[in-house]
Formats: sequence, structure tokens, C-alpha cells
Amino acid sequence: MLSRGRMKIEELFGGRTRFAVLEALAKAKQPMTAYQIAITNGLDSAATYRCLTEFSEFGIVEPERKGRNRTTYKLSKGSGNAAVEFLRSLKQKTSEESIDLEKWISPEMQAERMAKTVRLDTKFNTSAFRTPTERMDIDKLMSQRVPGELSALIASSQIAFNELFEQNGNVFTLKA
Amino acid sequence: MKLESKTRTRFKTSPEYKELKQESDLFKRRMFFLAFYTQKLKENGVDAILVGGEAIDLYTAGSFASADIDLVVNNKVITEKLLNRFGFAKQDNTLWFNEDLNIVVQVIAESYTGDTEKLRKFKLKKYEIRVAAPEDLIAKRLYSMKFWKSNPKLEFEQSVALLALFSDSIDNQYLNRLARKDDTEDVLAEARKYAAEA
Repeated sequence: MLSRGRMKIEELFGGRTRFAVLEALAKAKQPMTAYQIAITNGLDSAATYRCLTEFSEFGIVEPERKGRNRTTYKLSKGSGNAAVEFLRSLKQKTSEESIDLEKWISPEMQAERMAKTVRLDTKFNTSAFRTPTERMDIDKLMSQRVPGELSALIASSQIAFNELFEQNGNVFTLKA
Repeated sequence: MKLESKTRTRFKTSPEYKELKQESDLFKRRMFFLAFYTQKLKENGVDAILVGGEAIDLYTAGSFASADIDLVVNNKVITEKLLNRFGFAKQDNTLWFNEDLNIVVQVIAESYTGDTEKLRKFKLKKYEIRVAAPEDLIAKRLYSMKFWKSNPKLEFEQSVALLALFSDSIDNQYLNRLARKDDTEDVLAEARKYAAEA
């Protein structure tokens, strides 16, 4: 379980994902994809992607497109390294034995931390990441199936599910 | 003999383990393991929620099989300790594999990002599993399909299947809200079109 001090650093960064992404990139020897960061740190992949998108907007990470659907990320020399330095100094501070956790969670110290917090949660513009050429041709995608195949699969799922479970509101009970 | 090793031996000789080993249907084996394991987590004060592919696998009775069990937990240390006791070996930072049972578990030590009020419960014999709501799974799949494109066909089909299977009970207002937030309204509309035809 995370220490209380460490939990607070994560809060300062606006959540575990942001904290873990920064940590992962700081340790990485080479640029990483969002998926690699998520899978190696036990993070939610969509949340990691969103986080990296935000970091890109703030110049904390530098994305680099490799191929059609692959983007790798590395820390930027300016803001990225500064953010990691900030993170390291906080970790050092919280690892000091003299830290008083009661004081740390006091309203005064919370206010002080809030004043220092780098705001990273401004609404980002997702349209910047979806160009018309990147749009998925769903009909083309679905044409890989024989007509009626998906419908049959869904109908079969329904039958199998009903054979296995009994539904009562939001509760499904395995039939004896 | 070390304590961990003793516990592993105890698990291997337990009736639950024998039952799991005897189950030849991998979908059912995973389901029963999950039920047993989440109960053990609960006894140790850990909340677990099934998300991802295995949740969809459960809702579709094994028709959209997943490679691993994704579990969102509020205590990674206890979760992993128990996996180790049940004969799982760590593959990387989050993946655990039990070769004997052929079950892979991914531990996600994050807060659950869906709506906990909407979680569904699966009661399997004396056990209970909490599972992400179809609405949250659809939203995640469509987001991943649109922005990640890791396996767009499977993700889209899973969304269509859930929309079709739960057409009577799905909270469309909630789903629309998620799609607006994620900028996936276009792919959701497409998925609904396919679900209506299914």
C-alpha cells in the first residue's frame, strides 16, 4: 500500500496516472508508447492516453509519430525535466523522517500545496488528435465479416447467457 | 518449507482447486476462479471490480473470449500476494500467469473510472463478482477503438454486442454523456446502427 506521504504527492499531480506517467518517462531509457506506459505500470490505457495528450499540450512530453497508429512519448527538455525535478524534490521531502503527516494534511498546508500545483486539468481539445484521414471506415472494418455473422454471434451469446444466468435487476445469478 | 509455499500446496489440494482443474471449459474455469479469488480478496479487505475483455466475455457468455482477467483493485500488495499464493507467477509489472490453470490476471491498481452505482453483480454459487457496467465497457471500447486503434474490429464488435444484448436495460442517457465526454458520439452512433440491425 502506498504511504500517506506518497499518496499526497499523487494528489498534487492530480491523480496517480499523471504521477506514474511522469515517473515512467523519467525512468525510461527510450521513448515509450502510451500503451507501453499503461501496461508496465498497471494503468488504465485510456486514462494514460488522455494524460499524455494533456502533457503534450503543456509541452511536458514530446510526442513522436512512428508509423500510422504509433506515437511514442519522451519528456521534453524544458518543462518535462522541470516537472520531474519537481516530482523528485517532493518525493525527497516526503521521505524525510521529520515530516509531520498531520501538518501535511492540515488546511493551511493543503492551501499552500494548491498554490504550487501545476494545473494540468484544463479541458483539452480532442479535435487536434482526430484528423479526417485518421477517421475509421467502420463499414470497411465490418465488411471483414460474412454478412449475418456478427448477428449470429450475438444471438448465440444471448442464448448461452440466458442458459447460464438468471437476471434480477442488476444481479445475474448462475443457474443451478 | 516456506509459508508461501505451504499455502500454495494447501490451495492445490483444496476442493476449489480440484473443481477448477476439472473444469475443461476455459470460460467457466476463469469465471469460477474469479469468483473464488474475489471472495478471498474481499475476506482480506480488498475491493475488486472486473473490467475489460473478461467482463465482456462474461456478459457474452464466452463468445468474445479475452486473453486475461483485468481486475481493478484498491490494494495491489494484498492482491498480488494472494495471486502468488494461488500459484500465479509474475510476468511483468501487472500481469500474473498460472500455467497450471491457464489463467492470466492483470492487476490494475487504480481507482475505478466508471460509475460504481451501475456495477452489475454476478452470483456464482456462494460467491459474488462485481462487474463493470455494460455502458462503461462500451464507452471504454469505443474510446479505445477511436483513439488507440489497437484492435478496432474487436472493440467495435464488442460494443455492438453489448448494445444489442442489453438494449432493454442500457442507460442511454448515461452512455450519451460518456460519449460526449470522450468525443466518441460518432462511433457510438455507428455502433447503435449495427446493434439495431443485429
